[in-house]
Amino acid sequence: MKSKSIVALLAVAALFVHTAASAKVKVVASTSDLASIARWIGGEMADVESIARGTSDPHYVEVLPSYMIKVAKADIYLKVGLDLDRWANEIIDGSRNGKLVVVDCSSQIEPMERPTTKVDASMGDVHPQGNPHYWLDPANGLKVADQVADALMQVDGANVSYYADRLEQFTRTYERMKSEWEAKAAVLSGLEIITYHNSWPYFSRAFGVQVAGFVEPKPGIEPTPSHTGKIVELVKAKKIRVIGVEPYFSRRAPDTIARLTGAKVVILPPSVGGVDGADDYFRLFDAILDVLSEAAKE
Amino acid sequence: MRVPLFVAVLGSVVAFHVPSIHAQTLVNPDVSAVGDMRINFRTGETAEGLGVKEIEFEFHELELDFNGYLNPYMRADAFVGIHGTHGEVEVEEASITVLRGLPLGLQLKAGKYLLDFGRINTQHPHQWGWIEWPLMHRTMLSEEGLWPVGAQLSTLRPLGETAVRLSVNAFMSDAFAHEHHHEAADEEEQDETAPAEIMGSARLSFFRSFTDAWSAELGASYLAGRYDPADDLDVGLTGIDWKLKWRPDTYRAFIWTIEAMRSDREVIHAHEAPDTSDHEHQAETIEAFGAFSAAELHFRRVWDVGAYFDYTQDANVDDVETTAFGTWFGYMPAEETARFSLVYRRETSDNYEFDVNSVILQIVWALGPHKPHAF
Repeated sequence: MKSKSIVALLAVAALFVHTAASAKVKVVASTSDLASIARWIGGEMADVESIARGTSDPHYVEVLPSYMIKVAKADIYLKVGLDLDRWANEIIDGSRNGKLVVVDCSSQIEPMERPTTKVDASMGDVHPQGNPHYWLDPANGLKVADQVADALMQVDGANVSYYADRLEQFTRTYERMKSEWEAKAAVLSGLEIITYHNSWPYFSRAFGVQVAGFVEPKPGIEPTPSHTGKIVELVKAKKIRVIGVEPYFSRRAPDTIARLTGAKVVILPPSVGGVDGADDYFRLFDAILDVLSEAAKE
Repeated sequence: MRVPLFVAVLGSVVAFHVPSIHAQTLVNPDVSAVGDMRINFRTGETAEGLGVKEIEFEFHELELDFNGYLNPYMRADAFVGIHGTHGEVEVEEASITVLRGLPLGLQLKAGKYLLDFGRINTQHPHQWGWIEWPLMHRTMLSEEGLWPVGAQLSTLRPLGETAVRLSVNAFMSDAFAHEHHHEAADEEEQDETAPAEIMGSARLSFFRSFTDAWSAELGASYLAGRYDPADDLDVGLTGIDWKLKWRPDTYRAFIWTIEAMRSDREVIHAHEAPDTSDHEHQAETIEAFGAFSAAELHFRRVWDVGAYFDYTQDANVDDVETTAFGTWFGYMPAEETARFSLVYRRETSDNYEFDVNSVILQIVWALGPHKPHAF
């Protein structure tokens, strides 16, 4: 009886003792976009996971104990920053991981739409430090990649040259893709669209697509009949043909606008994994540009 | 000479304060205020056999929250509750937490905090669609749950795909609800100023996500100690809790909560002595059981409906039970910063001879930073 008790105690104790660390650097990212960039840079030296899926709203992520467990085992955490993933702090704190290197990937970005007056909730969910959807300009992806490489080099000093090579490959791939994207985006220059949420200012700046209005009356606020009516008028007046909806938002209001105006609703993926084919950071831009080009043709 | 001196002093004060104001702005904690106002309508029968019919506006609570990091390893959280319009102020929680840096992935919390005996006791009431503290909490813990002064050590570990959390608490017994059952003569003999003693509790929980949408947590809690040092009375409590959640997206969710508790509490009851008319006091152990279950459905992001069942036996008196059930309908205009909820509740007790129906319109509003959604 006594020996059984000792065995049971040892089993419980074993549960609460750290397991041996694997050789790969463990990276957890708030979003699938940062995770994709980390996979590019980390290559076979890193195990990368993301918290938010590409099809889920990165503003609202439920803090689950299973996420804390992921982060407890991680070496690096990649935050989006600019107040998008405030929930990440709860996950990081809950992980109890004292060795975690936390990287705010927005720290090298020049934020767009930074408010110049006092921000309050009457403006909706305005981000006081600027629009946080910066990864949708691939030039900002380069800056994130740079930070990710720095973090990997800091944690895994034995493979500094490996990460430097991977960063170089990432940069070369960006340069090659940039010219392809510019060719695709040429037909979209000046195209006016409606989007559900204000997720696209960085994309707009990079590719010349103009966002004329939003389905949301204010950021984070559900569509109202009066605002939807105004958007219907705007779509008709400007002869807008495309309404882009992020995959995690309801299609009720966009479909209503489309029905009343003849515009087309398309799913615009703001993150890796948001639609089929957008399965890494570079292909994400292919997917967005393809969706818009297709819709613009019709 | 006086003017330049005044200017110099003022200048130095300004010079000293400008950078400190700037620094203070940078390190300000998150500050938020949560208001809970209710319009209550009650009708029914009370223990005195009188009909009750009342309608009232109630300023239930204003909660002020202050949260922030003290340094890279620690954070502090303070919640101050102001109850009613006459301003009864209560420090609901004030604790520091050592988040990281301790061995074995431990976290240490110390101060006044909501004890993690079950899941419900870790939440502030304005988070619940059912509004009221469950009956078993009121009789087995305290009228408004258990918020003791103490310290907690906790750890979180993986067991396969399951997240296992273990916490142990040591806390002062004076948070525990109890009543002295003495006659005046006895009170002179009793040491009514007996200092509070330290009690202990532990909770073990298992959390698992089955799919991206489905998650569940099963927990077990235990609490024991001397809750009434003046009369040397002990209490033992065991509890189980369960929460199942389906949340496929930000628009829809289904949540099913169950919690049950068993209390073994020593109490002193007065009995008439057989040979005289005097009362004598005897310690006896009251065994009580309570259970609470709620199911809620959230839809179109801003709407929710739910229903609950609430039952308890009295933890201080043998063979006395109370039952309640109710339903609610909630709406958040625009976003989560304001919520209107219409709640129906019926609470009955044959032993206490009451049967009361309540309809409550609750208005909860929150100023300040949004807290992340926790499971």
